[in-house]
Parts: sequence; C-alpha cells; structure tokens
Amino acid sequence: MTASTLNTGSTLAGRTAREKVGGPDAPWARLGGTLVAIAVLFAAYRIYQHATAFTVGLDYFEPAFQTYWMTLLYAELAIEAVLGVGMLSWIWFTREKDLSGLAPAEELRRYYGMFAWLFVYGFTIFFTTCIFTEADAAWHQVTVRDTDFTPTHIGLFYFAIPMSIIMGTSAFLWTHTRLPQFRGRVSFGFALLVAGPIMIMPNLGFNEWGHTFFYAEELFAAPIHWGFVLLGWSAFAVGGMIVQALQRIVELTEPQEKPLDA
Amino acid sequence: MKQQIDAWRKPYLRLILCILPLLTADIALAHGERAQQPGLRMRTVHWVDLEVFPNQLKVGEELTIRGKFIPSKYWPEHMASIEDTAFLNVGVPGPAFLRIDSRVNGVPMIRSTAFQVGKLYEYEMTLRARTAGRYHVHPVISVQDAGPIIGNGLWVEVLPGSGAFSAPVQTLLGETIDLETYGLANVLGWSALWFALGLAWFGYWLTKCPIIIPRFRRVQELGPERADEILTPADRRAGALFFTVTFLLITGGYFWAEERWPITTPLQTGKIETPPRELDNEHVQVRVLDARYRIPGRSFRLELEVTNRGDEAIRVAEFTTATVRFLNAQLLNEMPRDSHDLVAPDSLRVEGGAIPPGATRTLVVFAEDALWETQRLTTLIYDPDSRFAGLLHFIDTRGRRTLVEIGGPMIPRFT
Amino acid sequence: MNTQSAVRTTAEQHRAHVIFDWLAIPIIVLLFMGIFSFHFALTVGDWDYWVDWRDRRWWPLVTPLSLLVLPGVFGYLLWEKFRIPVAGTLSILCLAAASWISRTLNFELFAGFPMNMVWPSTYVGLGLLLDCTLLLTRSFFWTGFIGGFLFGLLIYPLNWPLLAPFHVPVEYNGTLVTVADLQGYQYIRTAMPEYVRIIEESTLRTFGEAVTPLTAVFAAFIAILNYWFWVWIGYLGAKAIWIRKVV
Repeated sequence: MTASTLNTGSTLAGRTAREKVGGPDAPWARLGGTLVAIAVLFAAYRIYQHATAFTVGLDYFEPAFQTYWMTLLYAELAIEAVLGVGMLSWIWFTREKDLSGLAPAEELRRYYGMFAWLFVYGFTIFFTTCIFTEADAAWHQVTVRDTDFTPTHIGLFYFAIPMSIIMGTSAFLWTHTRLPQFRGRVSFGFALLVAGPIMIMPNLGFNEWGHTFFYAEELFAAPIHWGFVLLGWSAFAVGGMIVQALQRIVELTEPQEKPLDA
Repeated sequence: MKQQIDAWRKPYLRLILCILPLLTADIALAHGERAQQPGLRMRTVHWVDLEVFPNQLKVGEELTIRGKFIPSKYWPEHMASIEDTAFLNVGVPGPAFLRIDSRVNGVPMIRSTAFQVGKLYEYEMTLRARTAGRYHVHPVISVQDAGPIIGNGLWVEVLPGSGAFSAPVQTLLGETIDLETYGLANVLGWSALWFALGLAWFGYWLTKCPIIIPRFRRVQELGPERADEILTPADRRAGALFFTVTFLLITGGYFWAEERWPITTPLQTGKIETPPRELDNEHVQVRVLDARYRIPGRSFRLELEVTNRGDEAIRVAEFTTATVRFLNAQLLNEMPRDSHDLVAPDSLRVEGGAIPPGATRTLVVFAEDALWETQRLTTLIYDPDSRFAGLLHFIDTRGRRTLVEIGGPMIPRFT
Repeated sequence: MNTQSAVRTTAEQHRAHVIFDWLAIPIIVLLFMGIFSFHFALTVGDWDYWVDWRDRRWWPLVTPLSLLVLPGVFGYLLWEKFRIPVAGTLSILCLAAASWISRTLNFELFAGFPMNMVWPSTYVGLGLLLDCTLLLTRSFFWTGFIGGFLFGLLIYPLNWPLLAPFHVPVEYNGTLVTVADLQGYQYIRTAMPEYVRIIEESTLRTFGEAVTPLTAVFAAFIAILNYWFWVWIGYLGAKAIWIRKVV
C-alpha cells in the first residue's frame, strides 16, 4: 500500500472508474430491488396502522378489533413462517458442498453479496428499531393498554422484529455457507448481531408478564424495558465481524501483476 | 348470501375485505376498560353522575365533562393506593382535545394529588376540541404504580372547524404565544445548524474515499505504534478548527439564549392537596349478608340488612359497580344515552320494599342484565381475589339520594 | 482458501474499494440510526420525547450516560482499525436524523402532538468535541478526560438556546407553570399522568440556581468513566472471534 493508493483523491462518486475497469461487481440491481420491496412493505404496513390504529384498534374486545387487527396478526405470522422457512431452506439447500476451488473473483463477488445482505438487514433494522419501536412508544402513552396485542405491538413484535430476524438469519446463513472464510466455523460477532433481535422475543414475554403483574405505568425508559436495550447492544459485536471480513477482503484486493483466471 | 359468509370466514379474504373500506373507516371505539379485572374495576373508584356536553361540537369549541367519584373503601390491599399519588386525566386517544381546565372539589388538577377512600369528589374538566373525529370520552384517574382507573364514558362527535387551530396563552412576561407552534422555528434553526456542522465534519472524511479498506489495510500495516502516521497535518488543522467552532458555538449560543430569554423558571411539579367532601350517609347502614352471582342467569343476588336512621322512608333505586348502572325502573326511568352508555334500565329487582324511618329490614336485591357478560364482569369468578364492591343509591320519599358503598366476598353459582 | 487475489491492477483494486465504501458506509449509517435510536429510546426515552421532561437534575445526567455508549464503542472500532475520528459525530448525526423522522411520523402525525412539544434535543456538538479531541490527542485516555468531560458538561448549555423559551413562566389557573409544563397539561397524554415525569423536585438543599452547574459537573465526571468503559466494550466487540464448536 502506498500513500498514493491511500489518498487517491477519489470520491464516492467514482462510478466512471467502476464502469470502465473489469472485475466482479456488487449485486446492485437485486439489492436495490430488495430495498424498494422492503420499503414498500413497511410503508404499506405503516399506512394501514396509521389508518386503523386509532379507529378500530383501541378496544381489543370489539369485533372490529378482531377483524382488522387479529386477522392481520394471524396472517402475518403465517406469512413470516413460510417466508423464513422458505428463505433459510433455499439458502441451505442451494449451498455448495465444497468451496475449496472457489475462484478469487467469485469470492470477492460473494463478499459484495455478504455486504448486500447486511445492507438489507440494516435497512430492516432501521424500520424496526426506529420507526416501529417509537410508534409503540407514542401509542402506549396516549392510549390505555387492554391487550398484549395492541396495534403497535402487532406491528413491532409480530411483524417488524420477525422480519428483522428473517433477514438477519438469512444473512448469517448465506455468509456461513457461501464464503470459505466462514465455512465450518461461526463468526462470534455476526452471531451476536443476529442473536439480538431473536432474543427480543423471550424478553417480550418478560415484558408482558411484568406489565400484567407489577408494572402499570407506560414510562418508556423504565427498568422493565432495559432487557430490550441489552439485546440492542448485541450489535456492538459487529466490529469483530467487520474485522474478520476485511482481513480477507484486503487479501482479495491485493493487485497481482499476473492475470488471474476468472 | 351463504357464499358471502363462507368467504368472510376465510382469513385471507377477511383481510382483503377489511382493507377495502379502510378509507371510509371513521369509527372510534371505547378503550381499555373492559380488559381490567372486574375486581379491580369494582373495588377502586365508583363513578356517578357523568355528564359530557355538548355531544357534538366543532374544532375549537369547548366540551365539559363533569361528575363525581368515590374512591372505594374496599381498595385492594395488594395494589398501590389512591391515597398516595393520583392524577385526574382524560380518556381520549391523545391530544384530540386540549385540556383547558380540570378541577376536583374546586382545586385545579394541573399537578398530581391524592384522594381519600370513602370520600366524595366532584370533578369538572373543560376541553377544547382540536382534531375532528368521534371520540369516547372518559374521565380517568391515574394512580401511581396502579395505572389508569377508567370511568364511564360517552360519545362525542367533533366536526371540522373553520380556520386554523391555535392555542393562545399569555406568559407572565406579557407575551401572547401560540402553543401549537411556539419555539419551533428556533428549534429547527438550531438543530439544522448543528446538523450541518456535523455533516461538514463527516463530509471532510468522506472526501478521502475510498476509506474503509485502504485505511484498514494501512493501519494494519503500520501497526498500533505507527498507525497515527496515517493522519495528515490537514486533518489536525480541521480537528482544531471544528473543535474551536463547536466550543464557541455552544458557549455563544448559551449566552445568546440567556440574553434572549433572561427570565425562566424550572419545570414545576409537586403534589397538591385536594380537600375531600363527606358522603352524608350516616343515617343509612347496610350490612351484606350474602352475595352470589348466578352465571346462567347473569344475575347478581345481594342479601342486605339495611337500617334507616333518617326521617324519611328509603328505597334502593340503583346499584352501580364497575361503571355499570343497574336501575330500579320503579324509581329511575333512565335510558342509555348512547350505544356505549353502561346503563341497564329496569335491571334492578328489589324484594323487601321501602325501609321506614328507624327500621331495620332485610332486602334481597337482584341486578340482572347482559352487561355482566358484555362488560366481562363475570370473569370475577376467575379472579384470585373474588370480592366485589359497589354503590347503592337509596332514594327517600322526598327524592333525596343517599350513596352507600357495600362490598365483600362474592360466591359464584354455576347452575 | 485460495491465496490468489481477485484483482489484477490498482485500478481494479480501487474499484473494489469504492464498491465496498458504497456498501459499507450506508450500512454503518443504517445501523447507527437503528441501534442508536433504539438504545436511546429505551434508556433516555421520555426525557427526549417530551419538552416537559427536560429538567435540571435528571435529563442532563441521564442523557450523557446513554449518549456516550455508541461514540465509545464505535469510536474504538473506527479509530483503532481505520483512524477515522467520526464515530461521535456520525452516530449522533444518525440519531438526530432518526429522531426527527420518528418524531414526525410517530409523535406528530400518528399520535397528534405538535412538533414543538416532542422535538429531539440536539447533541451533534458533543460528538464533534469528542471526535476532535480524539484526533488532536490520539489517545482514548485524554479523549475521555477532556472530550468526555466536555460531553457531560455541555449538554445543558448546548441545548439551552432551544430549550430556554419553553421555560418561560406562565400563570395558569392560579398555578405557576412553565410553557413546557403547560404543554404537558393541555395536550392530553392519556397514559402519562403528571407524576410519571422523573424531574427535579424541590429540596431544601438546592442552593438557589446552582442546580444546573452541579448536575453538569457531576455528569461530566461520570462521563469520563463512562467513555472509558464503553471504549473497552468497543475493544471487546472488535475482537475477531471464531467459534468452531457451537454446541
């Protein structure tokens, strides 16, 4: 590495260079399409929530609540189960048994793929932990809770978080089956990054138990909610995973004088 | 028709059918109270004489909610008490209304307070409609660590008003402000300024792109001892500049604000005292001999020993529990004021008649209505503390009302 | 694994590096927005949601405790592995962006509160001080000592230009309140009674107006230790650990 390589003076807008020079590229089209699909899905859900939460979502014991919200809950749980099992099965059963002969260019392309998966995961996490979480905060401070399945809980805990879990576990499995570096062992950082949203579900059980028996207020930064933040902190291990991946990417992006077999 | 019903039973079709009318969905529902355990609803606060008027108004117009409540002497021991800390609130979904005034026994309820069990409190709240819609408006008493205790509610329809909504208030410095927008432009300006400065710092480092892999690689090559060599003098100059600008902006902003708003006070809090009123019911004494709920008949049977020490004969006109009013049609001829007014007309049967002055009689009172079921009060039998409380309304021959609270164990009958 | 490289020329290498920037930087921004807003909601939450929670005693103390977590953790990663001193500023910028998006969508449009009651405080200046101190001292020790101290100390003065107008006094129904208190009273929060606010209550021991400086200095000292602790967590998090035997 020379100083000139470090300070190339290039910017993020280095597209022209990318178009002219060969080598593998990131799956931009699929990534973009997936991000748009996720954005549309979350936006549609949000519009539904906005339209119905304050009209037919205030009383669990009204028939309209069962129609508009409990039906949605059952439907989304079923769809997520199919989606999750389907995606993970597809990733698992389409893996190659032997990665020893993987060409470096293909391996680099798969690292782009890994980062694209992380992009999708991060995008889902943003919707989940920012927009859907604070919708829950706002909702529970202006209404009186009468069920564990409030409209924002149905949105957060049974739609957004399962979606994050599906994206996270898919990214994890894809990486650990497609990349030689991750084959036969587990990245601790990656495992923690994915474990956080999964462990939110058992913590949700504690949360509902606590709200039922001993915690009546809807203060958001309350001790009863701290278990959730501990699980959010599992993302702090992302650094270890990035270091692991970058160590290999550095090797893969070392220029060689001799042309390579593609 | 049958096909339509079958289609409705299929979950995915139900979902589709439900989404279609969303754009026209303008109903709003009652909220929350039915989920609370019946024991809790019966033994916490008794609500009487609710008035909500007008039931139709426009945005910007005022609404009055008033009535009385009596904290129960049978307040569950395991729950935090209303005698510690409580707050009079309104059960509407968020700031659809502005709370202009709220008082209990004439004392403003801006802050928290405490209420004594077995005492009478009169409340009155004035709200100003802010958002059009149909709302089920309840009084609520929030009790610290016990949560909201919801009173009975009535429907109110708020129609769109003319002109923009504003919430003018005069400060102690004489300035009239609009609470809807006050201070926001200032907040936006400062937030944007800081955001831009932060973005400039991030942008400075982005000019070095590609940065992730080249810098990772270079730092690894140099090792921890020499990694700082990657930093340039320009970086340090930028760091010093941003540090100085940031520090000056923080201190400058602080002194600017001190100059601009020299008179401020800290946030105000602290409990206030609300003087209670007496129920004036010493002349009527009631002892519960037996209380049984017969599940198939939705019938609550009370056997009472009533002593009348007053100067007029008295009769039982109403039994109120968990916000449901069971009325004796011979004495009270009231009907529900709307679809969710929890009034059961002609649901109270009293055997034993009037109690003359100075007499002690045994009365058998039956409160029978489907509201036991629809308001989920029958789940009392599944409560780990199966005890009830309620308010008896006695009326004397001159029409004067006496309120007496009763309570005790309740035994279910399953056949 | 194959020991060969995937690129032939420096131009191809450059291209690969640019692609990774395009992928990694948005991922970092998205994760910062998601994780920080989640973490901040569950630890500071209501102090940042409502203008009538921003008192002199708890808000300036609780906030830096929570706010320093991501700058500390990711400050270690980005400095130790990349020598890029942006973790404080970037993570707080992401928090600010996420907060404004969420407050607008959830508190203003969904729940119906006016934005001037639920605006997020600004903390970007604190991230800048931390990052610049790290760059100038090149030491986590001194960054905690100087940058961490300033981080805890300056939360209140940094926000005072935004907050001061909401502390103007009002006489309302015979009671002294601030504009912020009045907003909390008038705009109904059904499940948030007045007593739920964790704010300064008067004691005989608050000497006049010395409350804020006291809190600020105490918060500043705590922030020093807090920063060091989270940098250590960042050190643990950045370890490249492989697990060969899962169960």
